[in-house]
Amino acid sequence: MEKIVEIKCIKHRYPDNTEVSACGLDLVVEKGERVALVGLNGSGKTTVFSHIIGLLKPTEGEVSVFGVDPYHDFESIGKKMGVVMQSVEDQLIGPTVLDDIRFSLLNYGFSEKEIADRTKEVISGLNLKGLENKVIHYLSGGEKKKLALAGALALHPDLLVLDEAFNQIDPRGLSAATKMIEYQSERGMAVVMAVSNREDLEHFDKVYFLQSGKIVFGGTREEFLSSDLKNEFCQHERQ
Amino acid sequence: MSSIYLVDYYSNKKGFFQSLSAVSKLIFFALSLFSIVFSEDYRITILVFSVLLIFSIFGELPIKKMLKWALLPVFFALIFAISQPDTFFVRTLTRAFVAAYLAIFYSFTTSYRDSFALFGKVFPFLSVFFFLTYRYFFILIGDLEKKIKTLKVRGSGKRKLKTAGYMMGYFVVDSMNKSEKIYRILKVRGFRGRIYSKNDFSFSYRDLLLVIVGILIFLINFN
Repeated sequence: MEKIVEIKCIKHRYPDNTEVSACGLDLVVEKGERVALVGLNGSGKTTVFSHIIGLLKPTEGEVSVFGVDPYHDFESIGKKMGVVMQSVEDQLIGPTVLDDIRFSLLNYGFSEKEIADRTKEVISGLNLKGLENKVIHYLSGGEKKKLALAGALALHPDLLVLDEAFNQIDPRGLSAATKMIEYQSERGMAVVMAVSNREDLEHFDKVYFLQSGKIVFGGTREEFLSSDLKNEFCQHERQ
Repeated sequence: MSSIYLVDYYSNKKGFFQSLSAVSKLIFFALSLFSIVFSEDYRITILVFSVLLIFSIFGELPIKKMLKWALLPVFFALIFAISQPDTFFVRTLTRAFVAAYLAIFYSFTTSYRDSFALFGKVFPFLSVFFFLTYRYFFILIGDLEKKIKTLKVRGSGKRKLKTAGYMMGYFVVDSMNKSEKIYRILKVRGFRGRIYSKNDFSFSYRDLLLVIVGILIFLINFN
């Protein structure tokens, strides 16, 4: 299987000297795989994602995405990646829903016909119909998440990186979103997502558990759910 | 929700003026502004204002709000106008008011992306700079509103001033951090410094109508 993402013991030191690490097991995402990254608050999930999309440069360790270092060579792999950040507000540029979905497609030079087709596909797939001309400031939190997801999925990426992307999305929207992700994943798209509740795990093949700066578990969802770590995760969920 | 978001709301509405090319609106803007600034006849200023009011009614724009906003530059013009003789005093104030209303009319009918895409044809670097600043400004306004609400909800009590100081400090640091983050995230979304316009500046007969109105104002001014 082709390795899409490979992370080997990364450490990152923030300007206030807080050090966040993800050591222990290597994190590997292969083509077509759906991987959940699970961990308590502040365990470093967002830091891991920021490294995958090249926003951060590790102080130590190695990050490889499509075989290149995403911090230095993002330009060469950007077109293959769809990203939804935890704070979606930062990634939406608008002004309207339609404009925002078209933003990345225009930047990557897709033809007008292709842009129109893909935009239509994600708008209907994610129940965004009727919101096309709405200004993004007036969207609800869940609608903003769906819009960010639409912009990412419209690229038909080979890797979808989602940081708590399902939060705030209503059940109907969630079902539409998972359906679209599953559909694109069947054609080979790899997905890596930070997951904070157990129900969301059912959409993933593989689970990594991040605890105190270490990746302490890496295996199938079934293995995770039958391990002791599941209780820890569920306990955290109850809290 | 900040009333400044109204600009985005109206400029992206489906309406007659919103559907026009940014080029024709800019030509109209330039011709009208030139007439306001260089005309000695106050009737020209009134004519431009009347045309703009008719356009605003026809375009279903929030006239009351626009008039209120146009008054702000008048306040600053007042400082300058006070030192002028009586005739210049009124002229300076009306010019400031109508010019401001003209700019507000342009903003309410032209999406910021179209404006910056047009600007980018001439000054690519500056247009990217302003484009990002503009978008960032809206995010900051939203953040500030949230912070003020939080302050109210959490209750600042007797330590109002101190809490407000903490909040402002946090806001400044957070803003600086955010500006860098947003730029990097936009790069992740493929942004390479080019702003794409909605209609690619295509010119229709309706655009021509607006330009003709601008030319008429300009010609009346010189006759």
